Amino acid sequence: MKLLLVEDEPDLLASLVSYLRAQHYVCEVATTFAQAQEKMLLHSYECIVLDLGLPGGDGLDLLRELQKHHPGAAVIITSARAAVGDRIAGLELGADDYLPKPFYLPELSARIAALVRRRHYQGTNLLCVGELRVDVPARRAAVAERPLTLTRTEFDLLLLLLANQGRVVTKGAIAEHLSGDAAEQFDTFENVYAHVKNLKRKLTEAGAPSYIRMVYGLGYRFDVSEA
Amino acid sequence: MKLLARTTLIFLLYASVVAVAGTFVYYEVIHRLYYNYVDRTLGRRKQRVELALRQELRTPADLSFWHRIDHNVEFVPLAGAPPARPAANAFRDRLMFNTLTGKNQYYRQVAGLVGFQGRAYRLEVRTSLLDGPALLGGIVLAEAVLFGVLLGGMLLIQHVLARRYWRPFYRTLGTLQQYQLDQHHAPTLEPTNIPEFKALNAAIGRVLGRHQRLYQRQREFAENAAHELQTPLAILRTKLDLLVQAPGLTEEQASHIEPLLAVTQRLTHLSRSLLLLTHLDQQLYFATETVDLAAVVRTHLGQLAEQLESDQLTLETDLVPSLRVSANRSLLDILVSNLLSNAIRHNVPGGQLRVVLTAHYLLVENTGRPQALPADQLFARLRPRPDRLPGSVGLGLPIARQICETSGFLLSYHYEEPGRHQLRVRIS
Repeated sequence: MKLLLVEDEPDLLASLVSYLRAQHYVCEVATTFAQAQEKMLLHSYECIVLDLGLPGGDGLDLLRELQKHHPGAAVIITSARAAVGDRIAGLELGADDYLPKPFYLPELSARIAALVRRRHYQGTNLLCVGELRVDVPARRAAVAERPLTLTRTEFDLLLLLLANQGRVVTKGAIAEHLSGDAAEQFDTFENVYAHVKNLKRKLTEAGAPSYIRMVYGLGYRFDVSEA
Repeated sequence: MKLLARTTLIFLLYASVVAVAGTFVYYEVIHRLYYNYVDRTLGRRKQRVELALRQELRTPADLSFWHRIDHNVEFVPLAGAPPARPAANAFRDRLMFNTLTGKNQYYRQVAGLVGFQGRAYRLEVRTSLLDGPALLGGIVLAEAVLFGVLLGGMLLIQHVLARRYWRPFYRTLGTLQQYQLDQHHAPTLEPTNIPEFKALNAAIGRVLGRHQRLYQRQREFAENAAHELQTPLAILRTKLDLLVQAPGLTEEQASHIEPLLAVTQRLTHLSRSLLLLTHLDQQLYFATETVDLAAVVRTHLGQLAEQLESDQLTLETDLVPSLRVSANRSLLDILVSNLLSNAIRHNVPGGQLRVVLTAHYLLVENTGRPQALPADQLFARLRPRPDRLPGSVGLGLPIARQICETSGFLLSYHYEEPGRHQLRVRIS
């Protein structure tokens, strides 16, 4: 899986590369408009993570050009420009997703995973992790053929954790993933605890090992090997 | 009363005083002129009569004959000797019966002693006088006509003045009345040739331009500051995300990281709120669509169910099944979310949350401190408030209010029952 990460901020780029490489992605990077332009047009990538504010040009122009040469390329825009207009313009130009900065790495990873899955499997998209089988488009999950009845939120939570296997997903990332900006209105994570608890209970009841571990109150980790 | 109408009124008041006084002055002047003329004429006629008396008349019968053919000349015989020399003329007004008109009327008379054939006579020469009240009436009428012409002219001139010369002033006024600080350009004032209005427009233009620039600068500053924060925050967040992955993380280290995560979360929320506010302030175009507000409210209540439960709050709802409003969906989401979160956050343990949606308003009521909150501070941005909770950013309600303004709703705070705080969004 080859990704192109277009980001001009070296520290942020280093974080992205470090996190996504550990997710077994092959990451190529571009830090300027010209670099990004060259790589985008020469190679094809599973997914391009595109920052809009680049030295040397506007990311939206890059997107326009990309759509001309590689229509249908998977693009996630990350931008500090949270303006509604930019978001709409980006999506209209063919970007698949829009992630305003600052974002959580597990969130970006989950979005990349979702996008890649959607592109590759087109409808028949089955995630198999340990004894767990997750049919993403149908939004169904089962443990060793025993179906799980998950709420919409619990299913989303499961997908987030699955997209970040073996990594700690912080409570903040979970809260934001589950309820968007509204989660930030509260400094407690009651709903995160409740959802994780319910998901764990349902998995255990279906006979799965305890895949989800809490990490020192910071967040949760889904790990098949530890179980 | 308009300025022009006021000056015109004062002018007309003065003009009417002058007109009334003028009537009497005119009367007096005309009266005098007339009497001078009459007295002079009478004096001359009397001289003619005296001349005729010396040269033409022969007998006393001639004297009475003259009186018979001219009633206004009369010789009244007096006892005693004729005067040695002619006496001074004596003028007076007298009332006499006029045989032609059959009425008593005023006459002007000049009388003098004359001698005729050794006898003394008093010669009286008269003429009928112009009727005084009739003269006065005539003058009053003339004055009234003049005053009417003056009044009509004044009103006409005022109208024309207001239309022509005062027009730049009214245009400027209209522009100022419609002016809003957050519009994109300072208004252009219509050019004028009248020096006062020119100076006025120049002064206003200068002030408006400066305010506009200041406002623009401040807005850009807030927006740029918020934007500039996003990238460092993104770095902070992602580094923390990586830090928590570190193998062999100890519990102590984790306990240091946790508050960092929370603070980063808060900073993120703060900068996003600031960005949203600056966008709302700029009144950037927000695409509107028809949104079912009832559905939005229900969705958000559903999402907040866990929070309600953990805070042990009782939810009471009275929602219309469906309410279509024309608004921006994202903004409406934020509005509803902010109002509900606010009501939960400022609630008391075991308290109540009441949400009412009718065709006209959305009401969110929560139990809380048993005193009314200062309504003016409630919507102030980032102002420290006594009821501000630790960890809260304090931009929820200002954002809600700004969204209401952008969407044409009206957000207001009500405290009608003790301990029950209401926020009401008037939709139509």
